[in-house]
Amino acid sequence: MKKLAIAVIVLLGVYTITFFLTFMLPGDPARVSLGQHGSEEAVELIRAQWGLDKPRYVQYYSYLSNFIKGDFGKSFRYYPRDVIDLIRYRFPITAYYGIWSIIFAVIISIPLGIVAAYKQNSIIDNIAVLISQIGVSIPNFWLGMMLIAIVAVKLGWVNPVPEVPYNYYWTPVGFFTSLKDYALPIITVGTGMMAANTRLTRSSMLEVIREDYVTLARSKGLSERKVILKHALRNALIPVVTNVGLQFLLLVGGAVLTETVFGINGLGKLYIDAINYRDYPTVIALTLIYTGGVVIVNLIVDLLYARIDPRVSLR
Amino acid sequence: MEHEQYLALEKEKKAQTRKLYLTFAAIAVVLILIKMVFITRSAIPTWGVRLVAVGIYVAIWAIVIDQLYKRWKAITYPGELNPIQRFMMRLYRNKLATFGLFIVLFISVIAIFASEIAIYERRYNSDWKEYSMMPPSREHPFGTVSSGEDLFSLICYGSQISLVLGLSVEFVVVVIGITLGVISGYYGGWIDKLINYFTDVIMSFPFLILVIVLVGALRANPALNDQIVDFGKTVGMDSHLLMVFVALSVFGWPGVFRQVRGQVLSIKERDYIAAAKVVGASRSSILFRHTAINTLGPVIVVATLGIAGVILTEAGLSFLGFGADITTPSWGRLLSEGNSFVTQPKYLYLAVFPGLALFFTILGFTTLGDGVRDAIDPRLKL
Repeated sequence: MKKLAIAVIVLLGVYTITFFLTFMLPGDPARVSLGQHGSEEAVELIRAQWGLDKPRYVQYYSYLSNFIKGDFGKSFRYYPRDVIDLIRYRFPITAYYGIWSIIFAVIISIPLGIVAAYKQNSIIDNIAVLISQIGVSIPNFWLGMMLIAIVAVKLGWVNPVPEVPYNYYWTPVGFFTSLKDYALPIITVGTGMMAANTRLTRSSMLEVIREDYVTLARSKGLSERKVILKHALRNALIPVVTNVGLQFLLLVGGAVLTETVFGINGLGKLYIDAINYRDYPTVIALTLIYTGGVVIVNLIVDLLYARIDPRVSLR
Repeated sequence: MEHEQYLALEKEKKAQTRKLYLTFAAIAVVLILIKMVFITRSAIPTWGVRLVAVGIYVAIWAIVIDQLYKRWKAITYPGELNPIQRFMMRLYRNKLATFGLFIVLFISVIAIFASEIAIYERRYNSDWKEYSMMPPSREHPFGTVSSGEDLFSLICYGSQISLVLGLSVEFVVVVIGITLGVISGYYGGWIDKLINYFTDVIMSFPFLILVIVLVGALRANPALNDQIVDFGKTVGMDSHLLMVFVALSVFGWPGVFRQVRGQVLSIKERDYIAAAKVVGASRSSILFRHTAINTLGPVIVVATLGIAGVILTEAGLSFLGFGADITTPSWGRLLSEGNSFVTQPKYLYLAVFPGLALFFTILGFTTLGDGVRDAIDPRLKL
C-alpha cells in the first residue's frame, strides 16, 4: 500500500536526520563518559566497544540494520544497559500523567466545546473562547511553576514534586490515589490540550450543526438532546479524536519542559539527559519510537477516515 | 474623450500619492532624528520624564500615521469603503482580536524604546552583591535578579530579543515557505514529492527536541561554533541566540509551505492565470505576481501565529539552557532563574514577572492571528 511506503520513507528520513545530527557531532561520547582523567587507551577501548572507531557509513548501516531487527543498542551513558530497558523503565511515568492529562482535557473540553457551539455568541461561548485562548497561550512550564508556588508551597495542598514509589501508580488502587501527587503536572500538561480541544470541538460542532442531516434529524421531530448528542456530536468528534491521539505523542516533546519543572524522571528527562551526555543510541531510539508513533497514528487515522467517510478514498 | 479624462485623473492621483509619500518620508526622518537626539538616556536622565516623553513621541507617530492614512484614503478611495477599512472593521468587531492588536502594539513600543523605558542601563555593576535579589520596591518595581540587575529593565530588554527573534525567524520561514510552496505547487512532479517527503519527516519530529538537537550540534562543532561566535561578536549579538535563530528557521517552514502549496494548487487552475499566460506574461511574473502574492492572506495568519510559536520555543530553549547566554536577558533565561527559587515565596517575583510578559506577548499574537484569520475569511481553516 502506498501510504505504508510513504511511512517507511518518512521513518528512514527521520533516522537519517537524527543520525547525522547526533553522530556528526565532533564531541567524543567515550571521552565524555570517562571524564578528563580517563587514559587515552581506555578511551580507545571504549570507542572500539561502541563501534565509534568505524567509518560513519558503517555505523549508519549497522544501527539501521539493528533497528530493523528491533535492537536499539546499548546506552552510552548507562553502558551496558539496553536503551530499550531505559525507555521501558521511564515510559510508565510519562504515560501515567499523560493519560490523566488527556482524561482531564477531554472531560472539560468536549462538553465545553459543545455548549459553546450550541449557544454561539452567548456568555458561555465567550468564556469558552477566552479560556481556550488563554490555555493555548500560557507557556506550560510557567504554568507549572506558578502551580507549584501557589498550590504546593503557599496552600500546601500537594507536594511540589510527585513522591510516589515507582510503578505504584499503575496498580488499580494507585492509579487513583497517586492522582493527588501528580495533580500539578496533570493540570500543567492538560491545560494546553484542553484549550486546543475546546477550540477544535467548538469549530467542528459549529460546522456540523449547519449540515443538512442535522436539519433533517430536527425535522423528523427528534428531541434536541438526541439531535446534538447522536447526530451532530458523532461527526463533530472525528477531528477531535484524531487530535487527542496526536496529543499523546506531542506530550513527549512538551514533557521535556514539564519534567524539568517538576523533577519527574520520565521520558522527557531521559531525552534531555541523553542529548546532554551524548548518549546517541538513546537519542536516536527515542526519536524513532516517537516518530514511529506519529506515523502509525496518522496511518490509523487515514484508515479510520476512509471507514467513517466513504467519500475519502485511499489512493 | 472620457478615456483621456480618466487617464489624466489617474495621473494626478499618482502625483498626489507620490507627494504624500515624500512628505511622510520627510516627517518620518525628522521624527527619527528627534528620537535619536532628544529622547535618550543622556538627554533625559529622569525615568518618569523619559516615560512621558516616549508616550508623547509615540502619540505623535500615531497622529502622523493616522493623517497619512486619511489623506491616502481621500486620494485613492474617495467616498468609498477601502479594503483596509473593511478589514479593520471586521477586526475591531472581534474584541479578543482588538485586545491582541493592542498587546502587540504595546509590546512593540516597549521593544523599540526598551533602552528608554528601562530604568537602568545594562552594564556590569561592581557592587552587584549589594543589589542582589532585592524584592520589588520603589527603585526596583519588579525587584532585582541574583546578578543585581533590575528585573523590570531586564524584561524591557528581553522584549527586544523575543520580538526581533520572532519577526526575523518568521520572515525567513515565510520566504522559504513561499518559495518552496510555489515551486512545489506550481510545478508538481518529483520536486513536489521530494519537498513533501521532507516536510513529512520534519513534521513528524517533536519540534522542540529537533531544535535542541540541532542547537546542540551547532554548539558542539568547534569550527561552526567559532564562526558563529565570531559573527555574533561582530554583529554584537548573543551567538547562542543566533544558533536558535538558525535552528528555528531551518525547521520552521513546513507550516507555511503546506499552506502556500495548498493555495497554489487551487490558484493555478483559476482563469486569471490562464489569462496571464495568454497575454504572454513571463514565467517569473506568473509565479510571483499572480501566484505568490495571492497566497499572502493565509500566510500572514500562519506567520502571526508562528511568531507566538517562535517566542515560546525560544523561551523554552533558554529555559532548558539551550538558548540564550547567561548574560542575555531572554525571558526564558530569566524564568529558569525564577524556577530555581520557585519554592521560596520570598523570591517568587523572579518567576512571576518574566512569565507574565511572555504569556501576554504570546496571548497577543495568538488572538491577533485568530482575529486576522476571521477578518480575512471566516470559513478559512488553519
